[in-house]
Amino acid sequence: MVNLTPFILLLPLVGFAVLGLVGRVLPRAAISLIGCGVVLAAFVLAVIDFFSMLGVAPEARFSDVLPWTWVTSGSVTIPFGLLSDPLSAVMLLIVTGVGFLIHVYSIGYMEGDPGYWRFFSFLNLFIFAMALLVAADNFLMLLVGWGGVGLASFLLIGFWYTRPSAVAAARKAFVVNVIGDFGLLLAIFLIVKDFGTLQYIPLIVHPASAGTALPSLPLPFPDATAIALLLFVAAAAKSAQLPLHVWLPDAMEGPTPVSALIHAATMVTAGVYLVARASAIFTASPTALAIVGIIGGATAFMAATIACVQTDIKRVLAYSTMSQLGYMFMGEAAGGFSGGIFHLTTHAYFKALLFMAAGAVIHALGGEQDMRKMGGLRGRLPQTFWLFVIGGLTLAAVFPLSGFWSKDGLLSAVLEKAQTGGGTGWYVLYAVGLFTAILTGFYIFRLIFGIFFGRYRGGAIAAHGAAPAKRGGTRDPLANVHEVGAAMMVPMVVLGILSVIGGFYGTPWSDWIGQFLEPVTHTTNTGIAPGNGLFWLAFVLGLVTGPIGIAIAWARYAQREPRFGASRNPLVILLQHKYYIDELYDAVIVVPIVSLGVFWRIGLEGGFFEGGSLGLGHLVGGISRGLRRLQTGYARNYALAILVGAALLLVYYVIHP
Amino acid sequence: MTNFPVLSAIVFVPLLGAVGALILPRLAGWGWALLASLVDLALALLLIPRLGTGTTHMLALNEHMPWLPDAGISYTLSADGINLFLICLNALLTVVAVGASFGVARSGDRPRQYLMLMLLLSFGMQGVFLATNLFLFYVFWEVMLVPAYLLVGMFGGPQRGIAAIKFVLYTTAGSLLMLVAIIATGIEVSSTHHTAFTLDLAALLNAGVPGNVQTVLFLGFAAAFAVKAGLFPLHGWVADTYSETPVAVLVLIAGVMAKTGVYGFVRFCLPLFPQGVHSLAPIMETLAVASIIYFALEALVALDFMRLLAYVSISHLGVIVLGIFALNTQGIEGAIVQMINHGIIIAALFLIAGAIEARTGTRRLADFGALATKLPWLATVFMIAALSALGLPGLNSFAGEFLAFLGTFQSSIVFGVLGTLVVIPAAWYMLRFFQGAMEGVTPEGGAVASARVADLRVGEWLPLLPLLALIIFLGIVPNTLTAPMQQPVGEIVSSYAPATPSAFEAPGANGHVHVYHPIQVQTIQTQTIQTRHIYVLQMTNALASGEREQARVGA
Amino acid sequence: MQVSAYLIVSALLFTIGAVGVLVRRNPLVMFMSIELMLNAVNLSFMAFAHFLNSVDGWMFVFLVLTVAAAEVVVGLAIIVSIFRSRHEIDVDDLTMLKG
Repeated sequence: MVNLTPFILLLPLVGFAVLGLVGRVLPRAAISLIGCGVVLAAFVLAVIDFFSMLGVAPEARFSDVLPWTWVTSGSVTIPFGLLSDPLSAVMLLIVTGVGFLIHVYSIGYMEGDPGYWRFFSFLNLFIFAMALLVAADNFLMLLVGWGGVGLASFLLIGFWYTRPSAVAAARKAFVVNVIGDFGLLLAIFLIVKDFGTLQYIPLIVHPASAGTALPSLPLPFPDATAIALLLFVAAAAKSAQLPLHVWLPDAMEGPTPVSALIHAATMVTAGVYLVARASAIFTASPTALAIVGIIGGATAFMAATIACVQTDIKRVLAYSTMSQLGYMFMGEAAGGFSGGIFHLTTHAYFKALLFMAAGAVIHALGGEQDMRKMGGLRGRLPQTFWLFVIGGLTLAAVFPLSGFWSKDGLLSAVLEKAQTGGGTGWYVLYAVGLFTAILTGFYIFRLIFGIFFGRYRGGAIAAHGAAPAKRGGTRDPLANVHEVGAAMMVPMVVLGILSVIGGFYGTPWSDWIGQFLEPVTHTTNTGIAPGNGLFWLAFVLGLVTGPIGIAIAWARYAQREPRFGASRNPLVILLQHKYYIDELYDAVIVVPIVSLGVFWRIGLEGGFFEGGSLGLGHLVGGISRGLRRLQTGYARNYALAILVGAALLLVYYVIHP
Repeated sequence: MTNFPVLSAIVFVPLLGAVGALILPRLAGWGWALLASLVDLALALLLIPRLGTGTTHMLALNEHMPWLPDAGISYTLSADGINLFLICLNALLTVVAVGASFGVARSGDRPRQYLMLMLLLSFGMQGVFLATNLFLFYVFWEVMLVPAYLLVGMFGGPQRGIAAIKFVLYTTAGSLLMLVAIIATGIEVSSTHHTAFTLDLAALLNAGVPGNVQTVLFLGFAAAFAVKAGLFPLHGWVADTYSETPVAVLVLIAGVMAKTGVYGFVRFCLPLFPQGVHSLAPIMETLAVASIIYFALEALVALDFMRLLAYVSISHLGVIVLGIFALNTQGIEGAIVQMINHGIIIAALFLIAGAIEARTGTRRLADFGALATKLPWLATVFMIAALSALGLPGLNSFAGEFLAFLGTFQSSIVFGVLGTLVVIPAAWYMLRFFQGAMEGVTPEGGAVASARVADLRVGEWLPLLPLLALIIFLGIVPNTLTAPMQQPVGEIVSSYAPATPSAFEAPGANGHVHVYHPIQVQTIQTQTIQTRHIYVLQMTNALASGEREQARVGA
Repeated sequence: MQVSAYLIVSALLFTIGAVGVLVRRNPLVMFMSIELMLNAVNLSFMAFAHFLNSVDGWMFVFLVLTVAAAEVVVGLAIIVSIFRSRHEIDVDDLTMLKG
């Protein structure tokens, strides 16, 4: 088996460096060629790696490359190593594959932006960091990739850096992600403390034990719950789970390809990857898994409810992403680690497709993102419409699209967990999952009907690059609206096809991906088996929930003129304000910290320390002014003082011989 | 060439440069100063192959000459893996600072004095890093103070008078206590062991400082070192001094001189006073955590970016102190690595801040916005330095912080968690500075809106380039720094914890057996502290004969 | 002769010198008085050196003589330069060191 991982990393890094240093002077075609070329090459290498991996026995599918020692200190040695195993192979395929498609899409989307070279440079940086994240062979290198994707996300959210809202969103995303880095750091410290190594092999992955239920981690090992929860803090920050989700909706300030690549398909799924990677640690702590399940379920539900009332089409998709990530964590918490990764792959297809399609709409409407100003675009943008519908149906988990299989697998794992003695809580979680599935169908079709059905509610759209059309003759405000070019359309079509067929490698009858990942994830729960009595009930429930949601959306938004926005319903207002969580954080965290800093600046720095040192100075000065009077300037006074002093000394020594 | 006194050369080459800079006219003096600092850098770098193998002991390389043997004073310079890179850092930042002073040399005020004082400062700091006779160390410590005072007082901003006086009062107060402690150390050691009075570090370590006075003596040294490191609550001079000093001088003061204090802890306090250090370590750790968090919050609300950077600097120095007083290998190595990294980053940040101020004439953060549109390269460089300062994994600062926090965490979970917490405000304040200056919108009618639009000039690029290269290189291969210090740091740590290796095994790939080596939780047993150190055996013959001479005189 | 005889003379000389420094206002005379005090000390040094049969006293006397000579040179130079600038040298009028 070959291990080309170092080159998979190197190619986008070279692309980043070249575009970053000389991109400014390169022609657009060269930038596109370099930017997309390196990712395509990396994808080809990942495919070669993948197929060569398929050629060997499951227990031999591990290959560690150790280019150099990162640091050695005392008994701790941390190499810079790259691991090629089934999990990293799947992740690399998604990252480079979907990444390449989005690079191509960006050629069209970013056309005409003055920062074109910068954009591709940052995208390549992202691909490099994400590849490092998934290919690292130890937790520290994972952290390096983890920080790197955070940086790329920061740079790309704030890509239009003269927009104050984008700048603020970028900062928020970075700071919240640093909270996750903090958790990961502490987890790493605990792991080093307990085991003295950070390597996946032999710490949490044992190739020799492939096929057995669990790696031979000493169980129960100390601090399992603490390590697992700290890792989950990192995962929650990166994957926008409660209560660290606040950055993701704001991150939609970035260009749409960024939202598709980073904030839907790849980076935000890093948390799901981390939990699957550290499955041995999580499995060792039922408490941690229960908390992961609760957080995942709560996020899935809460984000779906918010998505039902948002009017910015990208924000709807952002909340949808949060919700889907919640699903993945729910499934992983039940022990379905490979199911989480499976949903990660299908989600990468359909959510990237939805974002791209939304980008195509935004592009066509000259930057408009508010669906209150859309409507009736079906005729103008037929291809985009159909792709959007495919994405929407997949998201709503309609049979037999890929989303159906992967989401069904996750919910089935939760039910299996409840069945096999997980406790009533898991039944509740399952019910939440089902209800969220109805909400999912509702909000995504509310979006689709809002954009493409009814009458157009916005203003006139100017032609690209032209002043707002004032010419007479065209009454139609959508005269200048047309489908996007091939560069944007082809990637969408590819993803549309993947969304449709991408689920067949993980059905309950033939769970190929689960078996492929088994040596790494040691999945304890692959869902309810087809022979089980509950199987068909669960299957049917999974079958109908999405369509129910779609039907409600149809009734509300396609049958009559939809009304978005203003409502006096307190529940709707609560949802429109996203449960007031941003406001709560501002009041409880940001304001107190800043106030404390200001108070210290004025009170301590300006008052105590400044006043203290100046006061000391004044005190010494005052004493000196008093003592100054002793200096009369008469030489004979000084002489007398010396004499008296000498005489006193003499007397002293005479008295005390 | 083996007898070439390379350590003395490293110390005195800057002095030669200072003399030349004072005599020669403007640009010739600048050229001479640059040449001297480059020679110094070359000499320092030549030490790396000799000491960088990872097997050299503490105080491995010595140069010794008797000076006033009756008073225990000798001219002893030593180098090992601990100070190796600090010497290189000082030499490098001297080159950078002299390079960044080209404008002053060409058309500035009193260029000859300026360059001379800069090189004198460098001379004093090389001496501080190399001297291992306590008295000689003190002499260099004071030698370093004078040019620093004059540079602040003569070439600073409008408030330079009060800044310089604060600086000098704080530091002298500390260093006088240290002088007392130095003399007391010599007296205590000689009277306890009935040996000749000596202030040579190696001889003192060999004899061992009596346990009952270690705490007091440690406090004396700590006063001087903590002031230099700006440790809370002894930081009153830092923000004023940093905000009034020209940036090229700040490269030396913030980049190197701030490290002399924390270096002193590692070089003198830890080996000499193991019991004292151990009993006061929790207090030092508390102060370090207070520094880290308090200064981070101050940086978060600072209105002026020079003050912001001053707080950033001492907040990071708190991390170094935290690592040192973790008293284990990772903590101390992380601290030393971080001394180097911090020097590189803070120098780069001050140079960048200086470049911004030179273009806009203001340092109020509220005046700034969207400079990246005018100065894309400056923004890029700033971004890299800022990311490193906030501890982005993969850049140099991360490696040092990681090890320091790891060590702290191993010795105390509470301090470890509290210290690590700083990564969150660190990201916040650095981005506040970066985005506030470079992104967003320019305030209407401010100084920035009408600023000159020239991006970085060659003269600004050249000092920054080596720093940027190191920021990236040391982030990728931090082992470059840690490898040479394994042995000497291990020797320091050995006086704090007896090694009790325990391992459990697990089957690994390919049938190999992987052995876990859990880190020892290094608890310190006060009763069994070893005061005799094996590395004294490694001292050179010259030093040993010097001791014999002193012993004869004493008898 | 007893050492006390030398010491009595030395003490008398020293007292005369001390009183001279204190009561006279002319710096030249004050200078001479200081020299008198120094020589009084020298005398007792020599006396002790003789009676203790040690050279240590001699050494100090030479040191004192040298220092005194140097001091006279500097002192006279100062007096001359003060006289040149102010045309009078009454020490009670020279109070520039008043705090």
